[in-house]
Amino acid sequence: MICGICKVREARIFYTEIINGEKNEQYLCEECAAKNTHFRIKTPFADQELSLGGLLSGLLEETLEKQKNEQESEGTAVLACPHCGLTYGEFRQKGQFGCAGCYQSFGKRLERSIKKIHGADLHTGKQPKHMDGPREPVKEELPELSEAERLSMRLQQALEQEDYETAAVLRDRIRECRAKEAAHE
Amino acid sequence: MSKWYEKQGEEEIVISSRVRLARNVAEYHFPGKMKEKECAELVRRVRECVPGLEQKEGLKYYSCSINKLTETEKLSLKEWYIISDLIIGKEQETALVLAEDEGISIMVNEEEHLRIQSVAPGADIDGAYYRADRVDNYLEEQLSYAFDERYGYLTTSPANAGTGMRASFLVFLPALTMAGKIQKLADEVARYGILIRGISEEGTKTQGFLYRISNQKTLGTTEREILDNLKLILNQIVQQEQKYREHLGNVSAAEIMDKVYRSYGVLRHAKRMTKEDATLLLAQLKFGRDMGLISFAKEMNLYELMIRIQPANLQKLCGRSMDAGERAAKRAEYLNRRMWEAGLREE
Ligand SMILES: [Zn+2]
Ligand SMILES: [Zn+2]
Repeated sequence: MICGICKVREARIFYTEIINGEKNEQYLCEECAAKNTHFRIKTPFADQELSLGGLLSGLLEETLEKQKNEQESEGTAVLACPHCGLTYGEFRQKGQFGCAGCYQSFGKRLERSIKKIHGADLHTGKQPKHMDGPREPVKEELPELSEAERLSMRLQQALEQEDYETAAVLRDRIRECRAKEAAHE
Repeated sequence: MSKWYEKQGEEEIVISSRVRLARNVAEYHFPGKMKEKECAELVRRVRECVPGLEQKEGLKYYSCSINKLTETEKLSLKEWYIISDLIIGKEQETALVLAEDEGISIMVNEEEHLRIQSVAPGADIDGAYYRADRVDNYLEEQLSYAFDERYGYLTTSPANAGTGMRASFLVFLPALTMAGKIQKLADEVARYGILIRGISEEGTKTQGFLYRISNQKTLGTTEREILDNLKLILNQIVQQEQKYREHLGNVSAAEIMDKVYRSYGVLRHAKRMTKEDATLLLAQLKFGRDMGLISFAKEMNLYELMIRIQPANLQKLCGRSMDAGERAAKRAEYLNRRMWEAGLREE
């Protein structure tokens, strides 16, 4: 599937906005999704940032028991696999993927948890016969990320390590970043 | 052909070795997101592999839809660890492919598209792996697997990715259990990525001093490394068990001797036995026999008996369903006879 904004790159993120109770679904590439992480829209669904990092900051708010009132950003963002429709939230709940494509769709978020579970993140065992041959180094296909996105990945790391002090600092930096980006536009 | 577990007597400590491989077929969603049609198609395609499997393995295979089995049949397969509660509870189409000797079984559309299970008697994890690998290679030629260079075999739960392999030993550890050493052992081996858990429906408690020792991680090491690591840990555990058996034999021989003969007496003569009682008595008898404290004219496979007296297997044996009270009586009758047939050797 092709990204709904740039119409060039492959869509990897299923993006749902709920605005005034209206559901709006879009399939975006990671880059476009990242660029659109700073929509600030008023909706009746309070206290969630409409962003890729929304899930992360949502988690952080919970952890730090942050007051909701300073949030003017609202709406919900749902990350989902474009192949099977499984949302990241569903995955977190059950720990189960819906299809082989989920490994791509949630790839970036997955790296840390895979490492945590297995203490490794590269398969070295058996391969199907048609795959035989020298193993090529795994290519890292990282999309260009905004500063805020990079910070939000570090934020996830910090949260997974339960390093809340660093997480709090990162969260504030993400806010600043987003404010700056918003000012530039 | 006899089943893998029907050989003369079971092993003393390591009852069996098992390898399970989780595999998914590239073109379908994983079972959690599968459409009815996909489920049926996959079941059909796997069942079409049966003749080829028979040829490769040189023995007969059965296949069936799990929802078409009777309740007793389903539960008795579960008591033999061939199918799981998860697959029994599924509404979608599922299937079981089972080798004549029950050493290979394949669950279709359980948590993963395929769960290939291979079981061998005794401490023969290499034998179990060899057979699982052969079946896996054949199925891979027929169905193209979901595989990723980085994450290996792709599975519903990322905790199974990579090799998709769980290897395990079923072990009988009465001395370590009586000495209260299991928890400590479990904590120790956890550092090597090995898990010990008791065999029982609740998961934490054990029944009949039986435990399963398995690898915890599936990604980042080769199948060979997983198997070798597991064997190394198994050897340590077996040595510990032997040490404690010796120790128990020295310090409380009379007490153990009494327990063993009481167990025999009840199994030989009591008129009603619950599953829990019978399992414990059989385990105590096995302990005594393995320690050389009691002996029989004929070999008896006590592990097999522990499964045969489970509710569904017992009902299968009697050819009808029964309530708990009736089962307790039938169980006693069956065990009384088996003890009599074995023939106690008196000094
Ligand atoms: Zn795009
Ligand atoms: Zn998916």
